[in-house]
Amino acid sequence: MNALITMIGGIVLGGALSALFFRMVYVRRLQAEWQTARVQLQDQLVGKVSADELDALSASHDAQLHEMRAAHASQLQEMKAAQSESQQLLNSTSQGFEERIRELEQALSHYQSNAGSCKIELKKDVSGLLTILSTLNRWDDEMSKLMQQNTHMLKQNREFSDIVKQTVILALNASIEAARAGEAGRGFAVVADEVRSLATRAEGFSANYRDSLYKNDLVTTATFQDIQASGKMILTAVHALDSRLNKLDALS
Amino acid sequence: MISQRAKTGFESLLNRCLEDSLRTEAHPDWKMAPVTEPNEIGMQRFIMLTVSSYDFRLMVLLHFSYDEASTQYVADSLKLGAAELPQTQYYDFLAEVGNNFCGSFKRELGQYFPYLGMSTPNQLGWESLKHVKSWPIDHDIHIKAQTEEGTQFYGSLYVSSFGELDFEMIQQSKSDEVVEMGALELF
Repeated sequence: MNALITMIGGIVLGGALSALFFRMVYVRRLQAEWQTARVQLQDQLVGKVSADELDALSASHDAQLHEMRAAHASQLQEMKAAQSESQQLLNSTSQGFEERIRELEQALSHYQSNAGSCKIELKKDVSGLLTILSTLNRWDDEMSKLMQQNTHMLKQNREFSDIVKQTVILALNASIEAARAGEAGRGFAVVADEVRSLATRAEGFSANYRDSLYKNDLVTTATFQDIQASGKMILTAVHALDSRLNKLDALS
Repeated sequence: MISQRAKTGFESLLNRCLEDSLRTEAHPDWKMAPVTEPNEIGMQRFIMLTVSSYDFRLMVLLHFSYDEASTQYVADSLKLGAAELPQTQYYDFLAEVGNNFCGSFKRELGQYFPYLGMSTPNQLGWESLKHVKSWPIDHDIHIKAQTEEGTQFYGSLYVSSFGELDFEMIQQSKSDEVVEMGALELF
């Protein structure tokens, strides 16, 4: 960048100096031509024009030459001033460029430092997320325990259901025996009917409870499977993110 | 809201993936048929898996009954005698079939939807299945797979979408299918 500024400055300054040089060459050529013309004119006018007229003409030409020299000196002065101004402009522009470059370099360094630390943080987060698999395995173990518990409860329910069925049969037998006993068994028949009624209610309750356990099996399984599958879905997405980060690393 | 072509795509994928996952050296030929009435499935148990995405959630089911025909199928596939097949190995084999079924389904869908996740398989009794409608199911498909010997399995798909769901299935050439069947399945 500095080299570019120096090159631009050199071109501008070189242009101004070249213009000044060509101008000086042009004035010197005019002077030489003027002297030649003057000598030629003197030669041509000898004998044709009086000495006074020749002197007057010569004085007039000298005056014109003086004016031209003065104008030339003035132009030279103006060009020197312009050159000085250009130099100042070049210096200030160059300084401005250098300041801007320094600012950009600082900003770039700041950005690189921030991006680097962000990338490190992101990589840490991604590594953390990738351990979700161990969490899923833990859930799997806990789900298995829950399913075993459900199976155990279903077994208990079946046993309870068997007892209730036996109770219903016993209550029925008791009712029959009470009927055989006639008047003496009337009180016992009432008790047997109550037992049978309770056993029938217990049977209904047992069936409902068993149905709830089957529903519980499905709800537990489906919920766990959704969590497990969703976890793996997230894991797939995190792997894709990790892969992109690695690609970014390879590029930088 | 699921578009008609997405529904068609799901059905086509379900058919293809179930057939591919059931096919073994001993039982290469399966006849696939749609099931319009899910209540006619009537199997004892099912293997269940889930595929999740930002756009939808799928429950993929493989229905089976622990009977003589299915035991023979598993034993033949494992090159064992039916009598010497332990029950745990039978269930493990079918869990693997379910895993392949859902895995290939997920892999096919991966062409249209990024970032899919799949669960591990779980086995449940048929009594749980009637509660499947507890979820907001937007679409369900059921198919039957049967061999000439009478072995039967059923496949089901329950779709819950979280918005507009649309994709157009790319028709695969036979040569692509051959390459895919030979590919190592990684989930």
